[in-house]
Amino acid sequence: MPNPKTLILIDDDPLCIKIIEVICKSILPDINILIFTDPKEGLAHLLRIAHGELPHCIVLLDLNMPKLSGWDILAALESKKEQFMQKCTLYIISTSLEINDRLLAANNPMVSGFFEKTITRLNLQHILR
Amino acid sequence: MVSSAEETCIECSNANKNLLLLTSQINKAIIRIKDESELFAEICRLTVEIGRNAVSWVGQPDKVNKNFNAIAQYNATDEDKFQLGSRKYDPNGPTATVIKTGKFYISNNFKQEVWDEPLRNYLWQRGFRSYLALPIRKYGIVEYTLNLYSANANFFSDEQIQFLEGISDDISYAIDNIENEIQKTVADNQLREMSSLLQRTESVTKTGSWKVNFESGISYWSDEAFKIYGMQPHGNKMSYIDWVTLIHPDDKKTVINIDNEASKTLSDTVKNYRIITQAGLVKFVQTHAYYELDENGKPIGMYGLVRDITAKNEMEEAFRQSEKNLRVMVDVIPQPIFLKDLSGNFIYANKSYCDLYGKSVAEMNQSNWLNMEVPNVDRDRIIKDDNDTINSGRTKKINDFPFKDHSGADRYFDVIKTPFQMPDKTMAILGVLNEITERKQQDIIKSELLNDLTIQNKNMQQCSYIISHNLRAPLANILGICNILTEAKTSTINTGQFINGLALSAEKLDNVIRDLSTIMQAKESNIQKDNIVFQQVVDDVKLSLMQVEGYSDTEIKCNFEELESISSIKSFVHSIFYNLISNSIKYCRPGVAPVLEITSRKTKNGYELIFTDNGQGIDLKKNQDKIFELYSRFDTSKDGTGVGLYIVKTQVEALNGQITVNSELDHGTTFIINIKQ
Repeated sequence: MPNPKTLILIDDDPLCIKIIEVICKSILPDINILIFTDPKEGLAHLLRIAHGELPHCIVLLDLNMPKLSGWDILAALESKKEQFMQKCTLYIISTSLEINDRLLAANNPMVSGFFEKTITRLNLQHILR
Repeated sequence: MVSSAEETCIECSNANKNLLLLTSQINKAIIRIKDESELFAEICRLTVEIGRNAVSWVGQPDKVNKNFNAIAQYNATDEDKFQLGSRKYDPNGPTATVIKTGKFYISNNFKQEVWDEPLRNYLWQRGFRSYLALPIRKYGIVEYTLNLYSANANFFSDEQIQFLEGISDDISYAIDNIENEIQKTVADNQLREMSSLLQRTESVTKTGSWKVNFESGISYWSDEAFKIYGMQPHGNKMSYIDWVTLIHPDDKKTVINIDNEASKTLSDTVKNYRIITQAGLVKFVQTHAYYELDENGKPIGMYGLVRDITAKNEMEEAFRQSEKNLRVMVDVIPQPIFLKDLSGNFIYANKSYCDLYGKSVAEMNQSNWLNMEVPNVDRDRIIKDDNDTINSGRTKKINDFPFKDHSGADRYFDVIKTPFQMPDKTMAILGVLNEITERKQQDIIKSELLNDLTIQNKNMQQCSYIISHNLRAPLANILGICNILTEAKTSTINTGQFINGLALSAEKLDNVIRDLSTIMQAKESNIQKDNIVFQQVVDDVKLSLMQVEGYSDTEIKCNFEELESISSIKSFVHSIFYNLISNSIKYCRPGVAPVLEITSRKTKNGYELIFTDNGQGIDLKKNQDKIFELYSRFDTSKDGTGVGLYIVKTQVEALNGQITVNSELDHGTTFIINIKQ
């Protein structure tokens, strides 16, 4: 039996997290979900993963957050890029319609995909596969 | 012998008659004849023909060589002329005696004479028995001798000698007169020549001369002097008053003043003034005047020269005028122009140039650029440009040269410097400045405007980005919940928990649209202005904050003495006060009662509002750029929207103002609002 998957959600919007959480659990009932509404705490956790202390995981990262944006978190991980990429598959979830954000995401090797909110069941099935 | 005695007597009387006749004839000759040799010849003739002498001579003894030279004779034979005409005279003989004594020499009997035996023998043989030598003087000195020879012994009686002495004095007198006449003629001729020369000289040099005698008060003027004054020479007389009337009315006072001053010290003067001739012609003249003093140093008269300097003056005047015209032209030119030598001395500077330094043209012409106070100007660059110009011998253009003028105004010039050769062959630098300050200032304004627009544009982009996020986030949630609700029929999801989320999202959406409306209104400054009393605004805000947590502990110190009220948009001012005051209450330091100080101040071109609190402060090092951004929040533990400071900034800018912030964590925050009016 394979290890249950771990999903990390970093988003300051609790309602959005709740929605994702509910859908994900309906797709994979034994999924392990870690929630960070404070992006600082989220970053600290991601750094621990990059250091190899924790098993592989899937990350959903919001961009627009106070104090620390999604881009700030990615910039902080830059020095641990290789280790991080081995341990994590990271997707961006955002309300942004800016082409610039999509271009930045496409050019960042740490980012595996960009999903516009509202994220659908179909999207999440793809991510969790 | 009676008859002989009678005869003698008759002879006597005849002799007397003869002597009177001789005297009379000689006197006539003296008056008539004005030539020395002619007179001597006539005297010789008369002494023989009327004086009954045998021979008569006039000799001119050479006193140095002791020679007797006959210069006139009558009745002398050729032999006489040979023997007597030119010979040495005996130092003790008659000629020598007459010269020595100045008196006559008489010899009535040759045989007894001891002198010059050969001569005496000749005279005896010739049949002469009596001899009289008389002195003839010129200016009191014996220059000639009149020598009379008679065939009769004892011919010269005392009476006769007496007469003849008288005659010789008369002749001496006549000789003096002739000599006087000769010398007078010579002097007259010389005077005439000199006078004629002077006249020619005066005419050529256009210089007249004059002389005044104080006693008579009459001036003697030369012909040329009259000619200069445009008058016919008239007896060469001219009075001071006559002269003064000819002086140009504008110069009269000056000339008289100079004369009066000179009369006190008896000093020489040179006067330049204008005269108006009788024909109405204006002339420039120059007069030199000197005092003539007597032996006691008392002035007895004056003399001097007068020159017609009209032509010279007109030339100089024309030159001056042309230079003046040039000066006016160059001064009118708005471009500053200067000419300076290699040591930095100004040779020339036009008015525009002098104005840059706040100096007069006269001051500038005595200034040296190197010694001048020129603050905030790149002196080294000017010196280098000057050297480059001279060393290369070429015109140099210097663009965009900054210059702070004497009033402190910043100005910009395009400068052209060119080497300039002076009349004495030394080199100088000619500079022409073209002012480009206006263009430069417009460039600066344009660039500022562009910068402002860029910032505004960026802000707008930022704003639209944030709004789109804040609108889309609740919307996305609503859509997400809708999906879940749709699926709920087929899954086991508990949908109850999402109903509340739906309401929350809708409320958020509503809030964002309200914010958006406020923001749109805050950008609109074309709203009616009212008189606003600051204290009133604070009181209104206090009322609306009554219900806010922590308000009851808050102390608000107002300081509006300097500026109590303004004219502005009421809703904006209220909003600014409300947001800043409520922030100070909301973000107070835990456990410390909020204290807020609000001060109003007048500024040079508007007013200033200062809000200082003792709250928790903001870490500006991290958040300087973000503090006024829309939905920018630093303390998420407190309830807030991130709109307040954005609205404040937008409204301050709409009121043509600026807001700045000073803060430090745990040390309170100060907002300074500066409004231009």
